[in-house]
Amino acid sequence: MKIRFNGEQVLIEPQRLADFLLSRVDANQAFAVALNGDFVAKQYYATITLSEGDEIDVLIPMQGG
Amino acid sequence: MSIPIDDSWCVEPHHFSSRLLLGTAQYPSPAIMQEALAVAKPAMITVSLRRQGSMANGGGFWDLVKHTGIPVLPNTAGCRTAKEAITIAQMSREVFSTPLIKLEITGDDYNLQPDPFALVEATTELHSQGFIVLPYSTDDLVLCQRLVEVGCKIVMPWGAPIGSGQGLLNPYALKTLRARLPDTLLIVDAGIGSPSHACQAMEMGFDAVLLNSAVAHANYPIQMASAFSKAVVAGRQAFLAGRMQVRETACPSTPVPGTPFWQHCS
Repeated sequence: MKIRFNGEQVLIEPQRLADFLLSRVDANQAFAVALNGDFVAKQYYATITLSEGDEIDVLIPMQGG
Repeated sequence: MSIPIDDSWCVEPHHFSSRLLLGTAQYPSPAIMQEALAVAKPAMITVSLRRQGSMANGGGFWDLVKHTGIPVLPNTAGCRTAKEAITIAQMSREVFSTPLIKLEITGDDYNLQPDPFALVEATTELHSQGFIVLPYSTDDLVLCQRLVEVGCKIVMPWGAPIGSGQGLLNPYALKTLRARLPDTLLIVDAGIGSPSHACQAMEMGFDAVLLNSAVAHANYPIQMASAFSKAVVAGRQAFLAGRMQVRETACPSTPVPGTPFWQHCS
C-alpha cells in the first residue's frame, strides 16, 4: 500500500506503526511522530496499524530561532 | 538607595540570572554556536523540530545542545495554523521534556507576521493541555491583552520582522505594552540587529530579549554574543537605576558660581 513518509510516497506492506518506525528511524535518536497531522505519543506506536494513504512525519531536534 | 542585588527572574520551572535568550540557527558552524553560547550564557536557547533527513547532523545538534546544559525553548516555527502549532507543541514536549513552547504561527509569508487569531486559539488549547506558552506576537496591545487573558504569563512582541535586524520599529507600541501589562513578563523577540537595540528594549523595562540572526550573522558571532550579553545587562541596570528626565533646554553640568571671566550684570 502507499503511504507518505516525511512528505515522500513509499510502498509498504500492511504493518504497525512501531514496526515501520523500527525500519526507518534510528532508535538512538530523539524523535517524535505525527500521523495524518496528529501527534502520536510513543506508548501508542505499537497499537496503531497503518492504512492506505497515511501520512507519517518523524521529526527530530534541529536548530531554531 | 540601591538597586536590587537579586535581579533574577523565572519561567517555571527555571530561574534565570541572564535576561538574554538566544537562537541556535544559522551559525557558521556548530563549534561557533557552542562558543557563542558559552560566552553569552543565555537564560534559554530556542530549538525546533524538523523532518528527519531534512538537514545534516540533526542528532549531533541535539547532543551538542544537551551538553551545554542551557534550558531549551522549543518553537513552532513554520506553522501556519493553530492545529499545526498544537501538534508541534505536543511533539516538542515529548522530545525535549519541557512544558515550555515558543508559539509561532505565521500569518503572512512576506514579513512572517504572526497570525493573531490563530495565536489566541492555539494558546487557549495549549494552556488547557498544561503547556507554558510563550507566544511570539506583534506589538498590538489588544492582541497581547487577549493572550494574557487566555493564560499567558509571558508575551513576546516583535521589535521588527524576524531576521530583519531593523531594531525596535515602533517604540510607542512597545512602551504602551510595558505600561499596560505591568505584571506580564514581556520579552522582545525578533528584529533585533545590534546590541544597542537590545539595550534599548531593556531600558524600556522589558524583562528580556530573544534574538538569533544578530549573533549568528555577525562577522564574528562569538564577539557579538559577548556584546549582546553586556548590552542586556547595561540596559537592565539602566532601567532599574532610572534614567534622568529629558529637558527641553540645556542645563550646565559644571557649576555656574565661580565661573572665571564672568561678571554679574548690574
